[in-house]
Amino acid sequence: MQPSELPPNWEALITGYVLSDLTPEEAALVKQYLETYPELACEVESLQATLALFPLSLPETKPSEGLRSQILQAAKTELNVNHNEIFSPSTPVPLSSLSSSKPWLKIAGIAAVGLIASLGFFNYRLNQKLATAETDLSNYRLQAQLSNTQQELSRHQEELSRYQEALSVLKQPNNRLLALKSITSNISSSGSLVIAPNSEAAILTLKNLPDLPEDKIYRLWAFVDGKKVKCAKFNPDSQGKVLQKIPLQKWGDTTEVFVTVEPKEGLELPVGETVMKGSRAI
Amino acid sequence: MTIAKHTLKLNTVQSESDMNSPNQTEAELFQALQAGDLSALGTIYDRYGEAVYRLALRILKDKSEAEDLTQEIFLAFWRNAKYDPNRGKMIVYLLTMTRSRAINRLHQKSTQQKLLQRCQRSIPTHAESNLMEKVSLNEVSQLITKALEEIPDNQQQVLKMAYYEGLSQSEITEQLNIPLGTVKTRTRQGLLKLRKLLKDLVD
Repeated sequence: MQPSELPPNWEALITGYVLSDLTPEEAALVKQYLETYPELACEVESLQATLALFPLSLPETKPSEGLRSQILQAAKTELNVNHNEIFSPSTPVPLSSLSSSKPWLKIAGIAAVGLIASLGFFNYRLNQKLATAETDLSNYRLQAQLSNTQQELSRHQEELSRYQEALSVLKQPNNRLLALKSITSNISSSGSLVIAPNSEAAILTLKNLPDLPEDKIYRLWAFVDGKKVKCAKFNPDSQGKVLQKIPLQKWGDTTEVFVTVEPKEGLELPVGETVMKGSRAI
Repeated sequence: MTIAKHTLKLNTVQSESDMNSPNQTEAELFQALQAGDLSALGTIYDRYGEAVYRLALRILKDKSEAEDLTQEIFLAFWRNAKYDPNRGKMIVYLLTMTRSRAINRLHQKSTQQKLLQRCQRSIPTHAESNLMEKVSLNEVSQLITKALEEIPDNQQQVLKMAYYEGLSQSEITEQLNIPLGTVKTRTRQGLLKLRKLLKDLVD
Protein backbone atom coordinates (compact mmCIF):
# COMPACT_ATOMS: atom_id res chain seq x y z
CA MET A 1 0.00 0.00 0.00
CA GLN A 2 1.30 3.40 -0.95
CA PRO A 3 -1.00 6.11 0.38
CA SER A 4 -0.64 9.32 -1.53
CA GLU A 5 -0.38 12.79 -0.04
CA LEU A 6 0.92 11.47 3.23
CA PRO A 7 4.07 12.88 4.77
CA PRO A 8 7.21 10.90 4.06
CA ASN A 9 7.43 9.85 7.71
CA TRP A 10 3.91 8.34 7.83
CA GLU A 11 5.27 4.88 8.57
CA ALA A 12 7.28 6.14 11.54
CA LEU A 13 4.23 8.03 12.75
CA ILE A 14 1.84 5.09 12.71
CA THR A 15 4.49 2.87 14.31
CA GLY A 16 4.86 5.45 17.02
CA TYR A 17 1.08 5.51 17.33
CA VAL A 18 0.99 1.77 17.92
CA LEU A 19 3.87 2.06 20.40
CA SER A 20 2.15 5.01 22.11
CA ASP A 21 5.27 7.14 21.90
CA LEU A 22 3.78 10.09 20.02
CA THR A 23 3.32 13.60 21.32
CA PRO A 24 -0.34 14.60 21.65
CA GLU A 25 0.01 16.70 18.48
CA GLU A 26 1.47 13.79 16.51
CA ALA A 27 -1.24 11.45 17.84
CA ALA A 28 -3.92 13.91 16.71
CA LEU A 29 -2.28 14.04 13.29
CA VAL A 30 -2.33 10.24 13.01
CA LYS A 31 -6.00 10.14 13.98
CA GLN A 32 -6.65 12.66 11.24
CA TYR A 33 -4.74 10.51 8.73
CA LEU A 34 -6.73 7.48 9.82
CA GLU A 35 -9.96 9.31 9.14
CA THR A 36 -8.78 10.58 5.79
CA TYR A 37 -7.17 7.33 4.66
CA PRO A 38 -9.16 4.42 6.06
CA GLU A 39 -6.80 2.00 4.33
CA LEU A 40 -4.12 3.17 6.75
CA ALA A 41 -6.05 1.39 9.51
CA CYS A 42 -4.90 -1.96 8.05
CA GLU A 43 -1.31 -0.91 8.53
CA VAL A 44 -2.00 0.10 12.11
CA GLU A 45 -3.83 -3.15 12.84
CA SER A 46 -1.08 -5.19 11.30
CA LEU A 47 1.50 -3.45 13.49
CA GLN A 48 -0.71 -3.93 16.54
CA ALA A 49 -1.06 -7.63 15.78
CA THR A 50 2.72 -7.93 15.33
CA LEU A 51 3.26 -6.31 18.70
CA ALA A 52 0.66 -8.57 20.29
CA LEU A 53 2.34 -11.69 18.89
CA PHE A 54 5.77 -10.53 19.94
CA PRO A 55 5.64 -12.45 23.30
CA LEU A 56 5.22 -15.74 21.46
CA SER A 57 9.00 -15.67 21.13
CA LEU A 58 9.32 -16.16 24.88
CA PRO A 59 11.05 -19.34 25.98
CA GLU A 60 8.82 -22.34 26.45
CA THR A 61 7.43 -22.51 29.99
CA LYS A 62 4.45 -24.56 31.01
CA PRO A 63 1.97 -23.68 33.73
CA SER A 64 1.09 -26.25 36.41
CA GLU A 65 -0.69 -29.35 35.22
CA GLY A 66 -3.71 -28.56 37.37
CA LEU A 67 -4.32 -25.06 36.01
CA ARG A 68 -6.50 -26.25 33.14
CA SER A 69 -8.86 -28.19 35.36
CA GLN A 70 -8.85 -25.39 37.92
CA ILE A 71 -10.00 -22.89 35.28
CA LEU A 72 -12.65 -25.27 33.92
CA GLN A 73 -13.86 -25.98 37.44
CA ALA A 74 -14.15 -22.28 38.21
CA ALA A 75 -16.07 -21.73 34.97
CA LYS A 76 -18.31 -24.72 35.74
CA THR A 77 -19.07 -23.43 39.22
CA GLU A 78 -20.13 -20.09 37.79
CA LEU A 79 -22.22 -21.81 35.17
CA ASN A 80 -23.96 -23.95 37.77
CA VAL A 81 -25.03 -21.03 39.91
CA ASN A 82 -28.30 -20.53 38.12
CA HIS A 83 -28.11 -23.47 35.82
CA ASN A 84 -30.63 -25.54 37.74
CA GLU A 85 -33.13 -22.75 37.65
CA ILE A 86 -32.90 -22.51 33.90
CA PHE A 87 -32.85 -26.14 32.96
CA SER A 88 -35.68 -27.76 34.82
CA PRO A 89 -34.86 -31.09 36.45
CA SER A 90 -36.98 -32.95 33.90
CA THR A 91 -35.08 -35.63 32.02
CA PRO A 92 -33.18 -34.27 29.04
CA VAL A 93 -33.77 -35.91 25.71
CA PRO A 94 -30.70 -37.99 24.87
CA LEU A 95 -29.53 -37.46 21.34
CA SER A 96 -28.97 -41.18 20.92
CA SER A 97 -32.68 -41.81 21.38
CA LEU A 98 -33.41 -40.00 18.13
CA SER A 99 -34.00 -42.45 15.37
CA SER A 100 -30.75 -43.30 13.64
CA SER A 101 -32.67 -44.18 10.48
CA LYS A 102 -33.47 -40.52 10.13
CA PRO A 103 -30.15 -38.71 10.15
CA TRP A 104 -31.81 -35.37 9.35
CA LEU A 105 -33.78 -35.73 12.56
CA LYS A 106 -30.58 -36.22 14.50
CA ILE A 107 -29.02 -33.17 12.87
CA ALA A 108 -32.13 -31.15 13.64
CA GLY A 109 -31.98 -32.52 17.18
CA ILE A 110 -28.38 -31.44 17.60
CA ALA A 111 -29.19 -28.03 16.20
CA ALA A 112 -32.17 -27.73 18.51
CA VAL A 113 -30.17 -28.77 21.55
CA GLY A 114 -27.48 -26.27 20.56
CA LEU A 115 -30.09 -23.58 20.20
CA ILE A 116 -31.69 -24.49 23.51
CA ALA A 117 -28.27 -24.44 25.16
CA SER A 118 -27.52 -21.03 23.66
CA LEU A 119 -30.88 -19.69 24.68
CA GLY A 120 -30.46 -21.26 28.08
CA PHE A 121 -27.13 -19.63 28.58
CA PHE A 122 -28.43 -16.31 27.33
CA ASN A 123 -31.31 -16.72 29.71
CA TYR A 124 -28.88 -17.60 32.48
CA ARG A 125 -26.97 -14.36 31.92
CA LEU A 126 -30.20 -12.36 31.82
CA ASN A 127 -31.32 -14.06 34.99
CA GLN A 128 -28.06 -13.17 36.65
CA LYS A 129 -28.49 -9.53 35.67
CA LEU A 130 -32.11 -9.61 36.77
CA ALA A 131 -31.18 -11.19 40.08
CA THR A 132 -28.60 -8.48 40.72
CA ALA A 133 -31.05 -5.79 39.76
CA GLU A 134 -33.73 -7.35 41.94
CA THR A 135 -31.38 -7.59 44.88
CA ASP A 136 -30.45 -3.95 44.47
CA LEU A 137 -34.09 -2.99 44.14
CA SER A 138 -35.15 -5.11 47.04
CA ASN A 139 -32.38 -3.66 49.23
CA TYR A 140 -33.49 -0.22 48.25
CA ARG A 141 -37.11 -1.04 49.01
CA LEU A 142 -36.22 -2.64 52.32
CA GLN A 143 -34.28 0.42 53.32
CA ALA A 144 -37.14 2.69 52.34
CA GLN A 145 -39.54 0.43 54.22
CA LEU A 146 -37.27 0.38 57.25
CA SER A 147 -37.04 4.14 57.26
CA ASN A 148 -40.85 4.42 57.00
CA THR A 149 -41.30 1.93 59.79
CA GLN A 150 -38.86 3.83 61.97
CA GLN A 151 -40.75 7.05 61.32
CA GLU A 152 -44.03 5.33 62.07
CA LEU A 153 -42.64 3.82 65.24
CA SER A 154 -41.43 7.17 66.40
CA ARG A 155 -44.87 8.66 65.65
CA HIS A 156 -46.52 5.84 67.59
CA GLN A 157 -44.17 6.33 70.52
CA GLU A 158 -44.99 10.02 70.56
CA GLU A 159 -48.70 9.26 70.45
CA LEU A 160 -48.36 6.62 73.15
CA SER A 161 -46.64 9.06 75.44
CA ARG A 162 -49.46 11.55 74.86
CA TYR A 163 -52.01 8.86 75.71
CA GLN A 164 -50.08 7.90 78.83
CA GLU A 165 -49.93 11.51 79.88
CA ALA A 166 -53.64 11.92 79.20
CA LEU A 167 -54.41 8.73 81.09
CA SER A 168 -52.54 9.89 84.16
CA VAL A 169 -54.59 13.12 84.10
CA LEU A 170 -57.82 11.19 83.62
CA LYS A 171 -57.10 8.96 86.60
CA GLN A 172 -57.05 11.87 88.99
CA PRO A 173 -59.88 12.21 91.57
CA ASN A 174 -62.29 15.19 91.40
CA ASN A 175 -62.28 15.14 87.62
CA ARG A 176 -65.24 16.65 85.81
CA LEU A 177 -66.46 15.62 82.40
CA LEU A 178 -68.07 17.86 79.81
CA ALA A 179 -69.58 16.02 76.87
CA LEU A 180 -69.17 17.75 73.50
CA LYS A 181 -71.45 17.35 70.50
CA SER A 182 -71.72 18.80 67.06
CA ILE A 183 -74.38 21.42 66.63
CA THR A 184 -74.42 21.39 62.83
CA SER A 185 -76.39 18.70 61.08
CA ASN A 186 -73.78 17.78 58.49
CA ILE A 187 -71.03 16.98 61.03
CA SER A 188 -71.20 14.07 63.45
CA SER A 189 -68.31 15.06 65.68
CA SER A 190 -68.41 14.29 69.36
CA GLY A 191 -66.09 14.01 72.33
CA SER A 192 -65.36 15.19 75.81
CA LEU A 193 -63.38 17.56 77.90
CA VAL A 194 -62.18 16.16 81.21
CA ILE A 195 -61.14 18.84 83.65
CA ALA A 196 -58.70 17.54 86.24
CA PRO A 197 -58.11 20.25 88.84
CA ASN A 198 -55.60 18.11 90.73
CA SER A 199 -53.39 17.99 87.63
CA GLU A 200 -54.20 21.59 86.69
CA ALA A 201 -55.02 20.31 83.27
CA ALA A 202 -57.86 19.26 81.02
CA ILE A 203 -57.92 16.56 78.39
CA LEU A 204 -59.83 17.25 75.22
CA THR A 205 -60.78 14.20 73.12
CA LEU A 206 -62.82 14.56 69.95
CA LYS A 207 -63.63 12.43 66.93
CA ASN A 208 -65.05 12.88 63.44
CA LEU A 209 -63.87 16.42 63.23
CA PRO A 210 -63.56 17.59 59.60
CA ASP A 211 -60.31 19.05 58.23
CA LEU A 212 -60.12 22.80 57.93
CA PRO A 213 -58.61 25.03 55.25
CA GLU A 214 -54.95 26.02 55.74
CA ASP A 215 -55.73 29.40 57.27
CA LYS A 216 -58.34 28.14 59.76
CA ILE A 217 -58.11 26.43 63.12
CA TYR A 218 -60.49 25.04 65.76
CA ARG A 219 -60.68 26.85 69.08
CA LEU A 220 -62.12 25.75 72.39
CA TRP A 221 -63.82 28.39 74.48
CA ALA A 222 -65.28 28.28 77.99
CA PHE A 223 -68.03 30.33 79.57
CA VAL A 224 -66.80 31.80 82.83
CA ASP A 225 -69.15 34.12 84.65
CA GLY A 226 -71.06 34.77 81.45
CA LYS A 227 -67.90 35.65 79.54
CA LYS A 228 -66.22 33.74 76.74
CA VAL A 229 -62.66 32.73 77.67
CA LYS A 230 -60.29 31.13 75.18
CA CYS A 231 -58.90 27.76 76.22
CA ALA A 232 -56.96 26.18 73.38
CA LYS A 233 -56.56 25.83 69.65
CA PHE A 234 -56.25 22.52 67.84
CA ASN A 235 -56.55 20.61 64.61
CA PRO A 236 -57.69 16.99 64.14
CA ASP A 237 -55.33 14.31 62.88
CA SER A 238 -55.82 12.60 59.53
CA GLN A 239 -58.56 10.45 61.03
CA GLY A 240 -60.47 13.40 62.41
CA LYS A 241 -59.37 12.76 66.00
CA VAL A 242 -58.12 15.14 68.66
CA LEU A 243 -56.35 14.28 71.89
CA GLN A 244 -54.95 17.30 73.61
CA LYS A 245 -53.80 18.16 77.07
CA ILE A 246 -54.69 21.76 77.97
CA PRO A 247 -53.29 23.61 80.96
CA LEU A 248 -56.02 24.77 83.30
CA GLN A 249 -56.32 28.46 83.80
CA LYS A 250 -59.13 30.65 84.99
CA TRP A 251 -61.76 28.55 83.29
CA GLY A 252 -61.32 25.48 85.56
CA ASP A 253 -64.78 25.83 87.06
CA THR A 254 -66.62 26.23 83.80
CA THR A 255 -69.71 24.20 83.09
CA GLU A 256 -70.09 25.06 79.45
CA VAL A 257 -67.67 25.04 76.56
CA PHE A 258 -67.91 25.40 72.79
CA VAL A 259 -65.76 24.94 69.71
CA THR A 260 -65.53 27.44 66.88
CA VAL A 261 -63.71 27.71 63.57
CA GLU A 262 -61.40 30.71 63.69
CA PRO A 263 -58.62 32.34 61.72
CA LYS A 264 -55.26 30.76 62.52
CA GLU A 265 -53.84 33.75 64.28
CA GLY A 266 -55.19 34.71 67.64
CA LEU A 267 -58.28 36.63 68.51
CA GLU A 268 -59.41 37.20 72.06
CA LEU A 269 -63.04 36.59 71.22
CA PRO A 270 -64.72 34.12 68.90
CA VAL A 271 -65.78 35.47 65.51
CA GLY A 272 -66.21 32.24 63.58
CA GLU A 273 -68.91 29.64 63.35
CA THR A 274 -69.64 27.52 66.43
CA VAL A 275 -69.48 23.85 65.50
CA MET A 276 -69.65 22.02 68.85
CA LYS A 277 -71.00 22.61 72.28
CA GLY A 278 -70.39 20.89 75.56
CA SER A 279 -71.89 20.99 79.01
CA ARG A 280 -71.32 19.31 82.30
CA ALA A 281 -72.53 15.74 82.27
CA ILE A 282 -71.07 14.36 85.48
CA MET B 1 12.03 -12.13 5.60
CA THR B 2 13.13 -15.09 3.52
CA ILE B 3 13.68 -17.12 6.65
CA ALA B 4 10.20 -16.39 7.84
CA LYS B 5 8.55 -17.30 4.58
CA HIS B 6 10.61 -20.43 4.23
CA THR B 7 9.76 -21.62 7.73
CA LEU B 8 6.11 -20.86 7.24
CA LYS B 9 5.82 -22.89 4.08
CA LEU B 10 7.51 -25.90 5.61
CA ASN B 11 5.36 -25.97 8.68
CA THR B 12 2.01 -25.23 7.11
CA VAL B 13 1.98 -28.65 5.54
CA GLN B 14 2.97 -30.45 8.74
CA SER B 15 0.52 -28.67 10.95
CA GLU B 16 -2.69 -29.90 9.34
CA SER B 17 -2.50 -33.17 11.25
CA ASP B 18 -1.48 -32.04 14.71
CA MET B 19 -4.03 -29.37 15.53
CA ASN B 20 -6.17 -29.81 18.60
CA SER B 21 -9.56 -29.61 16.93
CA PRO B 22 -8.96 -29.55 13.23
CA ASN B 23 -12.64 -29.11 12.46
CA GLN B 24 -13.28 -26.21 14.74
CA THR B 25 -12.38 -22.77 13.53
CA GLU B 26 -11.90 -19.97 16.02
CA ALA B 27 -15.29 -18.56 15.13
CA GLU B 28 -16.97 -21.90 15.87
CA LEU B 29 -15.04 -22.28 19.09
CA PHE B 30 -16.02 -18.82 20.21
CA GLN B 31 -19.66 -19.46 19.36
CA ALA B 32 -19.60 -22.63 21.44
CA LEU B 33 -17.92 -20.73 24.25
CA GLN B 34 -20.62 -18.11 24.23
CA ALA B 35 -23.23 -20.83 24.42
CA GLY B 36 -21.62 -21.90 27.69
CA ASP B 37 -19.79 -24.92 26.27
CA LEU B 38 -17.05 -25.71 28.76
CA SER B 39 -15.24 -28.03 26.38
CA ALA B 40 -14.73 -25.04 24.06
CA LEU B 41 -13.02 -23.25 26.92
CA GLY B 42 -10.85 -26.34 27.40
CA THR B 43 -9.89 -26.35 23.73
CA ILE B 44 -9.05 -22.65 23.77
CA TYR B 45 -6.94 -23.18 26.86
CA ASP B 46 -5.15 -26.10 25.19
CA ARG B 47 -4.34 -23.88 22.24
CA TYR B 48 -3.37 -20.66 23.95
CA GLY B 49 -3.04 -21.32 27.69
CA GLU B 50 0.71 -21.70 27.57
CA ALA B 51 1.23 -18.56 25.49
CA VAL B 52 -0.87 -16.54 27.91
CA TYR B 53 0.99 -18.04 30.87
CA ARG B 54 4.42 -17.37 29.35
CA LEU B 55 3.61 -13.72 28.80
CA ALA B 56 2.09 -13.38 32.26
CA LEU B 57 5.19 -14.97 33.78
CA ARG B 58 7.55 -12.76 31.79
CA ILE B 59 5.81 -9.61 32.98
CA LEU B 60 4.89 -10.59 36.53
CA LYS B 61 8.02 -12.70 37.19
CA ASP B 62 6.10 -14.87 39.63
CA LYS B 63 4.81 -18.33 38.86
CA SER B 64 1.72 -18.33 41.04
CA GLU B 65 0.75 -14.81 40.08
CA ALA B 66 1.17 -15.71 36.43
CA GLU B 67 -1.11 -18.71 36.88
CA ASP B 68 -3.60 -16.57 38.70
CA LEU B 69 -3.62 -14.08 35.84
CA THR B 70 -3.90 -16.90 33.29
CA GLN B 71 -7.00 -18.12 35.07
CA GLU B 72 -8.37 -14.57 35.21
CA ILE B 73 -7.82 -14.12 31.47
CA PHE B 74 -9.58 -17.32 30.46
CA LEU B 75 -12.45 -16.81 32.87
CA ALA B 76 -12.90 -13.24 31.71
CA PHE B 77 -12.83 -14.43 28.11
CA TRP B 78 -15.40 -17.08 28.97
CA ARG B 79 -17.66 -14.73 30.90
CA ASN B 80 -17.86 -11.75 28.69
CA ALA B 81 -15.42 -11.40 25.86
CA LYS B 82 -15.71 -8.37 23.66
CA TYR B 83 -13.81 -10.40 21.12
CA ASP B 84 -15.11 -10.45 17.57
CA PRO B 85 -13.83 -13.47 15.63
CA ASN B 86 -14.45 -11.68 12.35
CA ARG B 87 -12.12 -8.89 13.24
CA GLY B 88 -9.01 -10.58 14.57
CA LYS B 89 -7.26 -13.63 15.85
CA MET B 90 -8.10 -15.00 19.25
CA ILE B 91 -4.45 -15.26 20.26
CA VAL B 92 -3.88 -11.59 19.44
CA TYR B 93 -6.86 -10.68 21.59
CA LEU B 94 -5.81 -12.94 24.46
CA LEU B 95 -2.21 -11.75 24.48
CA THR B 96 -3.22 -8.11 24.27
CA MET B 97 -5.56 -8.61 27.21
CA THR B 98 -2.89 -10.53 29.12
CA ARG B 99 -0.30 -7.84 28.59
CA SER B 100 -2.59 -5.02 29.61
CA ARG B 101 -3.81 -6.81 32.73
CA ALA B 102 -0.33 -7.96 33.72
CA ILE B 103 1.10 -4.47 33.37
CA ASN B 104 -1.88 -3.08 35.23
CA ARG B 105 -1.08 -5.43 38.06
CA LEU B 106 2.55 -4.28 37.98
CA HIS B 107 1.77 -0.61 38.19
CA GLN B 108 -1.66 -0.86 39.67
CA LYS B 109 -1.61 2.31 41.67
CA SER B 110 0.61 4.90 40.06
CA THR B 111 0.03 4.54 36.37
CA GLN B 112 -3.20 2.62 36.14
CA GLN B 113 -5.11 5.20 34.22
CA LYS B 114 -2.34 5.91 31.77
CA LEU B 115 -1.82 2.24 30.99
CA LEU B 116 -5.48 1.61 30.64
CA GLN B 117 -5.63 4.18 27.89
CA ARG B 118 -2.56 2.77 26.28
CA CYS B 119 -3.86 -0.76 26.39
CA GLN B 120 -7.27 0.19 25.14
CA ARG B 121 -5.70 1.86 22.19
CA SER B 122 -3.50 -1.09 21.42
CA ILE B 123 -6.20 -3.75 21.23
CA PRO B 124 -6.11 -4.74 17.58
CA THR B 125 -9.40 -4.69 15.79
CA HIS B 126 -8.39 -6.45 12.67
CA ALA B 127 -5.79 -9.02 11.76
CA GLU B 128 -6.82 -11.36 9.02
CA SER B 129 -4.60 -14.33 8.53
CA ASN B 130 -5.70 -17.69 7.34
CA LEU B 131 -2.21 -18.87 7.97
CA MET B 132 -2.71 -18.38 11.70
CA GLU B 133 -5.51 -20.91 11.61
CA LYS B 134 -3.36 -23.44 9.88
CA VAL B 135 -0.19 -23.40 11.92
CA SER B 136 0.11 -24.45 15.51
CA LEU B 137 1.10 -22.07 18.21
CA ASN B 138 4.50 -23.72 18.57
CA GLU B 139 5.21 -23.05 14.94
CA VAL B 140 4.16 -19.44 15.29
CA SER B 141 6.47 -19.20 18.29
CA GLN B 142 9.36 -20.57 16.27
CA LEU B 143 8.62 -18.12 13.47
CA ILE B 144 8.60 -15.15 15.76
CA THR B 145 11.74 -16.30 17.55
CA LYS B 146 13.51 -16.60 14.23
CA ALA B 147 12.24 -13.23 13.08
CA LEU B 148 13.48 -11.66 16.30
CA GLU B 149 16.96 -13.01 15.62
CA GLU B 150 17.00 -10.79 12.56
CA ILE B 151 16.45 -7.68 14.62
CA PRO B 152 19.45 -5.88 16.12
CA ASP B 153 19.93 -6.41 19.85
CA ASN B 154 19.55 -2.75 20.74
CA GLN B 155 16.15 -2.63 18.99
CA GLN B 156 15.05 -5.82 20.71
CA GLN B 157 16.12 -4.42 24.05
CA VAL B 158 13.94 -1.29 23.85
CA LEU B 159 11.00 -3.22 22.42
CA LYS B 160 11.14 -5.67 25.30
CA MET B 161 11.41 -2.90 27.89
CA ALA B 162 8.39 -1.13 26.43
CA TYR B 163 6.35 -4.27 25.95
CA TYR B 164 7.09 -6.41 28.99
CA GLU B 165 7.78 -3.74 31.54
CA GLY B 166 5.28 -1.21 30.30
CA LEU B 167 7.93 1.49 30.38
CA SER B 168 7.38 4.74 28.57
CA GLN B 169 9.94 5.99 26.09
CA SER B 170 11.23 8.57 28.54
CA GLU B 171 11.59 5.93 31.27
CA ILE B 172 13.63 3.82 28.87
CA THR B 173 15.69 6.90 28.05
CA GLU B 174 16.48 7.32 31.72
CA GLN B 175 17.31 3.69 32.34
CA LEU B 176 19.56 3.27 29.30
CA ASN B 177 20.93 6.79 29.38
CA ILE B 178 20.37 7.33 25.66
CA PRO B 179 18.50 10.17 23.94
CA LEU B 180 14.72 9.98 23.61
CA GLY B 181 14.98 10.22 19.83
CA THR B 182 17.20 7.15 19.75
CA VAL B 183 14.78 5.18 21.88
CA LYS B 184 11.91 6.09 19.58
CA THR B 185 13.85 5.27 16.45
CA ARG B 186 14.97 1.92 17.80
CA THR B 187 11.54 0.76 18.97
CA ARG B 188 9.87 1.90 15.79
CA GLN B 189 12.47 0.35 13.52
CA GLY B 190 12.36 -2.86 15.56
CA LEU B 191 8.60 -3.14 15.29
CA LEU B 192 8.55 -2.23 11.60
CA LYS B 193 11.15 -4.82 10.81
CA LEU B 194 9.35 -7.46 12.85
CA ARG B 195 6.16 -6.62 11.05
CA LYS B 196 7.83 -7.04 7.68
CA LEU B 197 9.33 -10.36 8.71
CA LEU B 198 5.97 -11.61 9.95
CA LYS B 199 3.96 -10.12 7.11
CA ASP B 200 2.51 -13.41 5.99
CA LEU B 201 1.42 -14.20 9.50
CA VAL B 202 -0.34 -11.00 10.43
CA ASP B 203 -1.58 -9.55 7.12
